[in-house]
Amino acid sequence: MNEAEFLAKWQSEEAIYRAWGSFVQEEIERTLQSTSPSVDLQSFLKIPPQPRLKAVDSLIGKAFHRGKPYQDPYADIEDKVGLRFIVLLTADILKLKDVIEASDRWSWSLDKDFEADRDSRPMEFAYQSKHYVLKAASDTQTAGLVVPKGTPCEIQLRTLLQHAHSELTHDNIYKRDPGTEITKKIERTVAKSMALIEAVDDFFAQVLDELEKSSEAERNALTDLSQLYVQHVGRTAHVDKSNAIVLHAFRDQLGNTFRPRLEALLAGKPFIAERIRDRFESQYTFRQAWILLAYLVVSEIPNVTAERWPLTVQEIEPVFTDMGKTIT
Amino acid sequence: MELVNLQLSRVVIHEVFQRADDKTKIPPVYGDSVENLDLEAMDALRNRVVAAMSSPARCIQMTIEKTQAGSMCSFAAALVDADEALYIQQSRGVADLLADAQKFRNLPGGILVVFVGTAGVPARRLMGVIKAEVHNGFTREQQQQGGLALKFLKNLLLTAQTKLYKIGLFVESDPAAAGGLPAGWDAYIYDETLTLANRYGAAQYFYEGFLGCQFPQSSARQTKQFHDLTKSFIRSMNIPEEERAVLHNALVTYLKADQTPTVSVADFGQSYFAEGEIRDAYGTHMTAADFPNTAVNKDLADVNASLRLRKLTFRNQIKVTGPAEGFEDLMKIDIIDGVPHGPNGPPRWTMLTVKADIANQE
Repeated sequence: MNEAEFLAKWQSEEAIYRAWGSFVQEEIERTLQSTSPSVDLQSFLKIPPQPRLKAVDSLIGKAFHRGKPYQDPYADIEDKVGLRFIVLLTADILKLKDVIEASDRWSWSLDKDFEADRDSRPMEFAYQSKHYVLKAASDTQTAGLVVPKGTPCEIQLRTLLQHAHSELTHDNIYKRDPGTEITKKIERTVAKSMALIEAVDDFFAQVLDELEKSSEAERNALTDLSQLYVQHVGRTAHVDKSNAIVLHAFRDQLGNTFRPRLEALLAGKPFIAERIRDRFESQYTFRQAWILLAYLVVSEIPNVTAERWPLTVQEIEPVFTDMGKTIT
Repeated sequence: MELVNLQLSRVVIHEVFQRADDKTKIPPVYGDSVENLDLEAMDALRNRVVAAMSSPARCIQMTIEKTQAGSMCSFAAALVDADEALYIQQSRGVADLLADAQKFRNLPGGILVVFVGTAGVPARRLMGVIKAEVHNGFTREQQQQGGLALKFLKNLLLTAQTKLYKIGLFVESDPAAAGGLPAGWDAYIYDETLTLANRYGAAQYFYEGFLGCQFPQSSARQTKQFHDLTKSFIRSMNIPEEERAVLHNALVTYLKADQTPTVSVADFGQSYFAEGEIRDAYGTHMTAADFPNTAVNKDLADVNASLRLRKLTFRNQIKVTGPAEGFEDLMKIDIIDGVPHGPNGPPRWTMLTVKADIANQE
């Protein structure tokens, strides 16, 4: 295959590669969402992923002019379309890894080319990004096209910090001049920054871990609230940000006794679930899981509730009224 | 009182008028249909009633005195059973009753809201009346050419301005009670304008003439109970002795000097305990001892003796007594560090400053 044939083939298949890239992206996002419903994709993916086709010049250069020992350059170049997923923590990368490796829509391998390339790019010495090549497991219909079995797509998984580091040390920015004093100094500094990135990633993970632990009671309570809401009200409660605010304000009321207390209240005063059901359609507050907590604290500690209530008085007043109390 | 899960099933309004110049009665204007309120309006009306009845100092349980035909209690028992047509018809009698009770020219007219419904778990039937005085206020109005303008409203009623309504409520607390009325029924009033001074005067037409109720005979006993229970709560609190002394003095002031016509747990809590936690703990303490969560008519007959003297007893047999009223003005109490005599640091001593000369010694 000469350059002209290569180019002609690429131009005829470009749209298929683009479609395959989009398919892979949607499949990964969809699976991630269904396996981890608590993940908010928009904040989980720090830079919105976008399938990127390799530029023609770059393709030709890689195929014919970099002295790579390709048997069949067109087939052997596996990053003709690529996707990059950038997340906050290395733990997040593991989530993506699980999703990618579990799918039956493609076969996966770690990018040999990348491994090899890395040897030729010593500047990225501690570069930890994970590169996959996904090949369509069968002919795949998408966006009105058929993506033939075996069509590759390269996936890069990086943390934000790795991404920053990688951008800095990218060939385009940094022109090497091996052996000079200045290069050694720069390499040393880049090495230090990579070490720092690893340390920071550890610290980030530690912070999140401690945050998780400290909010464990709140998260458990939210699960209890959601379950009891479905059970008693017969609808699915909404769980927006106001829930975290309300739960946080009354976190000393949560813990082991929380669920039994709430169950006793709802069993003893069945009208509570009825009043919530009445207002489900018309009032935002009564669709939130925290409304059950509101009934509990108004019934047990009305004065403390009035003092600590983190949202507006209008939102808690109907609960006081239902419980025969007044906000003082 | 706690009107848990108050539901209003029928609401009718009538209008009663101030007496004419010659004190003759002007006949009421009767409503001829039940109100059909949407969820939001109904929630607001429920909120008015609940807010009033859970008012810390002005909602009082009463004793039902009049039960003959044509009395409020008999109306209550009939109205909770009536169908809609009969309800509208019979509730007129309630308006007539109020018009008759307002014997004086100085009593304003107003809208009389007559409702029946349920409250509590298990649900108990109830009948209530609200006398709402009409007042004025403003609303905003969108102009045709855009922009806003104030519009004056002369006929406002049942706004959150609580001084302008009074409520009487009859609750069927025991549907299975044997015997004639008032067996099985409890009555409550809410009147924001009630004071120590007018409770046997100006306010009387409403609770006695109209509702047929009296302040309970048990008021003196309950006031005493309030005093004793509150005192034991103050004793049990984990606070410095100076603060405890202040609270004991406050209890005396609340009972003797305060012009509120009632004593109530919520009112005392709000006035003297700064933290919600303590108010809630105080509420739990009083409820556990079966003290009512309504206000209790303040009657000092039984408690006067206990209020006469404040006594301080020290761990070394020293006793100090003095008049309870104004105790804090007669003597100052400070906790100080004593002289240490051991490894445990200084003992706590008390410094008393008596603001007077010694008159006599034995």
